[in-house]
Amino acid sequence: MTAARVLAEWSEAGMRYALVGDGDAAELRIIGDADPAPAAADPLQDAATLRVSGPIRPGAGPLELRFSTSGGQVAAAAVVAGWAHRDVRSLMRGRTSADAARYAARVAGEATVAHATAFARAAEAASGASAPPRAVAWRDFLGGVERLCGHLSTLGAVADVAGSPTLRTRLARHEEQAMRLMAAATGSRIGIDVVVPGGLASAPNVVPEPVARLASDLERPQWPAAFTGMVRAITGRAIVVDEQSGDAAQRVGRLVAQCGTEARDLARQVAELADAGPIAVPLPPATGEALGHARGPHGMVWHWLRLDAGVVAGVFMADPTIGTLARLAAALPGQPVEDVPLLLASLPLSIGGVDL
Amino acid sequence: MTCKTVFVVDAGGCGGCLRELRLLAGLDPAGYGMCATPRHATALAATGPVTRKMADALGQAAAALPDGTPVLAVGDCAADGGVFRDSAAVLGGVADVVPGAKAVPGCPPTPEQLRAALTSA
Repeated sequence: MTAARVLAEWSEAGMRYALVGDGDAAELRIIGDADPAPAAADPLQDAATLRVSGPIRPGAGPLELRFSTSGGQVAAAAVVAGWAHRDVRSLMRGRTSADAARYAARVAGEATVAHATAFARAAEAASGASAPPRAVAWRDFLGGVERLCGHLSTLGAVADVAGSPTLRTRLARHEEQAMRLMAAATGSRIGIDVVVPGGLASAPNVVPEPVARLASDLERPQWPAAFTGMVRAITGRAIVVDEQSGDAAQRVGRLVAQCGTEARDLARQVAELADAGPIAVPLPPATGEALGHARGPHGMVWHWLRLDAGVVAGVFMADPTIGTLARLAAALPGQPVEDVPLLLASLPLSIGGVDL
Repeated sequence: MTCKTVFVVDAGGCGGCLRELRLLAGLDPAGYGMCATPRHATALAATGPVTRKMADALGQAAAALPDGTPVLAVGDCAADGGVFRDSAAVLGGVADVVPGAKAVPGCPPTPEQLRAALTSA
């Protein structure tokens, strides 16, 4: 018979427990009184190596990172959010869906089109209405421009910390190009307050020329080739262990490819935008509850909405940053301290989308 | 033109104005740099409505600036709290924490407005 092995040991309610097993069977044993917690058991209590950064992160959204270090590596880490809490949900309750849309659009600026679209879809579904085809086509198109802007911005942030100033400038130029495209179409550089419940607030302009230019810039083989040097520098660094994250180089590779895809899709979609037709339908003052979603730059955005006679009775929004923060906290332990900025840059966060 | 070294504080915004400031530095790194500490800043640019949670941090950053360093309140929210003005979780605009902060209106402000404000600051 094999010797019984201690599978787990823990303290609870003043007692010390152990789970002892030999593979087939396991039994729970009380092995004594709980030990008093040793002073250094929580590495985050070790003031000698504790680093706190934030809540001000110059040039980034407010977030506090607390981590202790050992041998140049992060030993334990905690991510503290909530600094950008504006209580968006309370401000939305009691307003008509049309008025509340201004708040939905200001949950997360990098994903304002996505949040506004998710909210509008929820409002439409809860009212038993649907946006006209022209508005739907425009929402898709503007969402694509926003995702492209977001990818370019994330790549720019990585180039910044990876020490590639030329690439950083080039990415900023493309991002500016995409934002001007958004401004030419909607009058706003980020497309804010364009998507509203029922459709669109005003008819955007069709801008085929800048779309074609951006698409040709991001589709050439020179586009991914520009990243070769930087990718070499960040390969194997800032690793996130989950089903799809990989190292910083893999995340960059995916974003570079997505830029090409988004730009190509925009060039295809722009041809369908010239159609005439209404841009919005009036929403009845309905009572109902629904979910709406839209694809933002960092993933799917969801809005849950309950309307009472057309007035917001309850609302909640889920931004992909919620998951990214959890991945960040899990990925920090074991990282070399000098790779923490790279990890942060390559995991894009919309802090406003979490803090609400 | 001398390089502006800007300490950028997101005091609780959506990130829209922040992106414009970051892009400004990305496009013209010789003209605008972002610094990691307010002690080296030639200007402080704060975005977003000032949330109650961020008011202290913003106040401390402003207090650490070299004497006479201009403070900009970038965007409609930073100007007076914007649409978030009436929230119990929001203190107000940047000027409510840093008296004399100069507002740059817009949602978000255009790069031209930002450049003009930073140049004249």
